[in-house]
Amino acid sequence: MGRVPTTTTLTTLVADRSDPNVLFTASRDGVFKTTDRGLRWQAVNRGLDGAAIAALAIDPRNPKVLFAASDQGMIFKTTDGGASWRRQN
Amino acid sequence: MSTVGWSWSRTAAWRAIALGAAALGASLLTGDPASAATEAPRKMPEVGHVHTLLVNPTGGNLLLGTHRGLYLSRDEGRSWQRAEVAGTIPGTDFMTLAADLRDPRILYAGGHDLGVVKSVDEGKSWAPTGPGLESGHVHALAVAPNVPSTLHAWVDQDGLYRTPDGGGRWTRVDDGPMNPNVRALAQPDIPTGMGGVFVYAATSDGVFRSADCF
Repeated sequence: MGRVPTTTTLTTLVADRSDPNVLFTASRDGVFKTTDRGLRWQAVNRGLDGAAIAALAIDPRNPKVLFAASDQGMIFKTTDGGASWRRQN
Repeated sequence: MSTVGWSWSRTAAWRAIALGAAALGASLLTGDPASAATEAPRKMPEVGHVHTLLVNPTGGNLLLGTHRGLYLSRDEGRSWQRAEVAGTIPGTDFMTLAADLRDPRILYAGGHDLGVVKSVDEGKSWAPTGPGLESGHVHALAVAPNVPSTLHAWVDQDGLYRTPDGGGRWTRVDDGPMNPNVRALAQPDIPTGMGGVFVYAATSDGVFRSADCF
């Protein structure tokens, strides 16, 4: 099994209901994605500006759309499955 | 208190260092307590700490669970207003949210001194679920992908619980992974080969998973 490339506590875990191979987790080091059921994880942090991520949610209507919340309430959105993020507030 | 010996395997490992603020996990959730929101929207919710986030599958609104209650955004997180929580529930520290995606009216939430509470009206009102949890400190929830009346709950400093009937009753089923500091649970639709699916747990020491059938 692979390693999540973070040194800090994982804060969240969400699954893509349309593809069970895909899960996302996060920590103070950003967001991490697996496409092989957790064997390998990679950072998907472009646009997060170093935010410590406390929560993630997938839009069940379109699983390429996710929202990430920092622990102090900054909100980010991706429309490409985490490849890039845009701050919302 | 019964304990069944699940076999948890690490899907990832890394160095763990202490974090200051607790910031807990998110789960998919449906529901929209929009009608209960009363304050004017603000750019940032007045949170103690963000704990969990949800997308409403029908309207796309966001629900944020925090140390100080629930907040609602109707514009993809650009502005927020506090969501009034109708009903008699024992706490306001929302740590985790989960949804029955087959019935978007049904939502679940857990938290500190909250136990597990349930809404059957898209989050407008909430009520405690049934007995069986050893404490009210619930840090994580996951809804089974194919049987949404089955949920797992992680009770802090205790273990993993399961309900077969949408929260009617809870039974302790396992001690949990080797690292007991579970922050979030998820149940992707990955068959175990034994009639169930895997439960994944995010902890302070990596991601673990176990079959839910025993």
